[in-house]
Amino acid sequence: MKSKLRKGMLGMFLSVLFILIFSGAGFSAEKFPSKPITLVVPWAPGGRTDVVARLVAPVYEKVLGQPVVVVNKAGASGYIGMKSVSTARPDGYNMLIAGGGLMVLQYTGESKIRWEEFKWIGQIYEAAATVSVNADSPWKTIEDLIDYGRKNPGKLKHGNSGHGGTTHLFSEGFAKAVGIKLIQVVYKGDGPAAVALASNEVDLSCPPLGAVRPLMESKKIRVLALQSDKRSTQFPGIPTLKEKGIDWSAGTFEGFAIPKDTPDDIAAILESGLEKALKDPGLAESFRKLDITLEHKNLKDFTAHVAQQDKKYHDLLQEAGLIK
Amino acid sequence: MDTILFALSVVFRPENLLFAFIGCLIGTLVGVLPGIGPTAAISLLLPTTFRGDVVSGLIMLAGIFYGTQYGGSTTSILVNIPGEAASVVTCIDGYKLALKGRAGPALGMAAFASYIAGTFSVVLLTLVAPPLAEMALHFGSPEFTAMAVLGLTLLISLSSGSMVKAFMMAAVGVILGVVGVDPTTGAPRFTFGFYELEDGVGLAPVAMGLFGIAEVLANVEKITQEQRSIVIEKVKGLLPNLQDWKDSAVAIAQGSVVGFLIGLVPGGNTIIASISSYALQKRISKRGDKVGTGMIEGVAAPEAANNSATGAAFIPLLTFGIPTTPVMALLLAGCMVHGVIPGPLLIKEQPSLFWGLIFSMYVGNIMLLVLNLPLIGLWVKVLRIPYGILFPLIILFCLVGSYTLNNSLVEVGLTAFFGLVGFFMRKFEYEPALLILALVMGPILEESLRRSLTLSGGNLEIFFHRPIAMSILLISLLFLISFPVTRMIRKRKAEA
Repeated sequence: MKSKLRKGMLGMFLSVLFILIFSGAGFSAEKFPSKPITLVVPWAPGGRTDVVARLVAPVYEKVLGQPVVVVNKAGASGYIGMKSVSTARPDGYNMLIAGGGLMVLQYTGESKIRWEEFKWIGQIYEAAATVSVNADSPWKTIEDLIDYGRKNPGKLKHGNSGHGGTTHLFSEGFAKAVGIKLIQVVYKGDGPAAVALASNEVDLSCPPLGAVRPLMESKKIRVLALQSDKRSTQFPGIPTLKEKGIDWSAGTFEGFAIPKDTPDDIAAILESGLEKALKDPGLAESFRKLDITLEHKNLKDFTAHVAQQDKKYHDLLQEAGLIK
Repeated sequence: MDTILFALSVVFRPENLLFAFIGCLIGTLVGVLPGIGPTAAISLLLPTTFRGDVVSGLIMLAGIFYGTQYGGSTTSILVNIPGEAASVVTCIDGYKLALKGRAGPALGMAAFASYIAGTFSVVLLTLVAPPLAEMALHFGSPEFTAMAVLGLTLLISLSSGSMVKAFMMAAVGVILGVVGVDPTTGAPRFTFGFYELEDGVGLAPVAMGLFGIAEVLANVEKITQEQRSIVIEKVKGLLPNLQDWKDSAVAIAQGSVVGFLIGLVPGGNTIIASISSYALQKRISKRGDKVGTGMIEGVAAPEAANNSATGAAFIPLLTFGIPTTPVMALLLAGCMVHGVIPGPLLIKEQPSLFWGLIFSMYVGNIMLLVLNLPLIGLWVKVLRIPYGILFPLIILFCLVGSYTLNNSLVEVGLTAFFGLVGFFMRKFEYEPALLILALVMGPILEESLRRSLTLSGGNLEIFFHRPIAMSILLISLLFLISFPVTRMIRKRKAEA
């Protein structure tokens, strides 16, 4: 009985050794990529991130010549999926799609993750936040809202998608930039917050355009401005904060990331592959329908952007009292 | 008329019929398996619809959703394990019916009630979707608070035993609901350093533990102690008889209406629908005090309600593009990948999608009935599987199911823990259904109450200024008063 067990253990040990030798040393000599690449979406299927990943994957795999398999690893606000990539073998076959959500997650809750755990190989899209009010409200322009807010400090109620969530920070950032004070009311996600705005429960909300678009089209919500530097191509009638002389822009963004110890030559292949894939004309059109803007940044620019966003989110969270 | 013909032409395309059938089939299976609920199943299968026709894809996903409501009752009745959360209430009378050898009629009535209510809600969906959607927008945080209060009040009426124990279970459920990140300040509460607990104690692991594992443990104990076989020897009939229909008619009718109204409310879900309808049945039934001991109307009412709620839940999505439940959010994504954005323009821009989806539900409900009735004979045979095989299988399904929720062992641990707790609850006659339903209601109550008070600046008057909220609160109060009063009257009668 005992010897059988020992034999089994020996066999297991040998086979593990075998796998380690061949998968590690064996493949590195070959041309990258030589097997399918796993793209981890740290959320359940169906969210914006998931949809983007699944739109990019088929184009990306044509450029790389190997399948890109989208895998959803949801749970704990994205932490489980993100950590699974940052701790994966840095061989280029494990990739993550992440951005704004990770920035916030670094500072909230019990999860311990840092953006420095990744190499950020390229940004894919960005989605500007809005400043939205109820369609029956007296505020026809962004100036009306700001005037009211300045005269009535602490009166305006803004609905957000969770304390310390991105929409919360977009609202706080905007309020700070124009010098008004808001009361925050917390909902479970941008959807319920948009419904609350449409039913006049709150005065304003600052989610990305996609979250309020259907209600804007059914004339329940008015979008006063985009928190962006340039106008939307699909809704050119919406002014931006910048042209109103307000120096504040915010929005969510996402791109691909790989474990930080991935060799530079492999990262370069993935980086240039992504750049090529994003030139696909169909992709920009699909993104437009999702109310997000295709915006590519290469490894260097994206890394700088992430570092800059990290600081911005950190400061906002500190002001909101979430980091002591 | 043209619209109907057009819709039928879409639905009866062979590929759409096929996808409707696949959806119903998967839905039934998902409903039967404990652990995996409609949200998990749809999110697993969502990517398969990203390529191919958007109408077929949505028809399939919708089929899974209402299909689970049919299948969910199966395990509740047969082995006292809710196949998914909306069938928790069905366990109470369903399982007792099975013990009496009436599993067949119970399953049959569940299927018929589901069919009638499902079709009822699709008819309303077809006729009056837009004005109803407008109504849903009047449902704000104070109304949700009132709903949660009503829900918790109704819970007490579910209990057939000690009132004190019922209150205790409801309290424990509400307290468990506090675990997780504080909705207003973002501070983690009672997470003990487990980041997995930040989203709160999941409903599914608790339900699988309290019902699944605990049921197995309790039965194992009985077998070893008394050498008594719990296998139901005699199965009396497979279909409900005329008396069953008479007993259930009112239940099905009120279940359909109550379920539809609650399904319409943003976030009002199938679980609340089934409790409300069950509680109402207990009040209005002539033998109300017996409901809970294995009465067929105790199965018909909640099963009608949870199916009716599924149809109503589509209304806010199709007319405003607002997903009010996680399942609807997934369907929204299914549309968006194809560049279709549900909303007020959907009927005009995508008539084949809008009408095709709605009419596929008529067909789907018929398919489900046809699919489920012959299966009853098969399911009843499940009761004859030797326990040596059935029990390990149930435990396996529960543990694997809880692991797949979040790919984490914390959920598995929770399931095992609540299995043990559930075993002792059974021994000391505490009702697990109450705990689970309170766990659903607690977070709704907390969030919406705190939100209402933020909105009003801490002033409770907000509840008096809102007619809907006020009337729901008054109804809850009446219910609460009526319990001791009816008990007293019954006691007097018994004495006299």
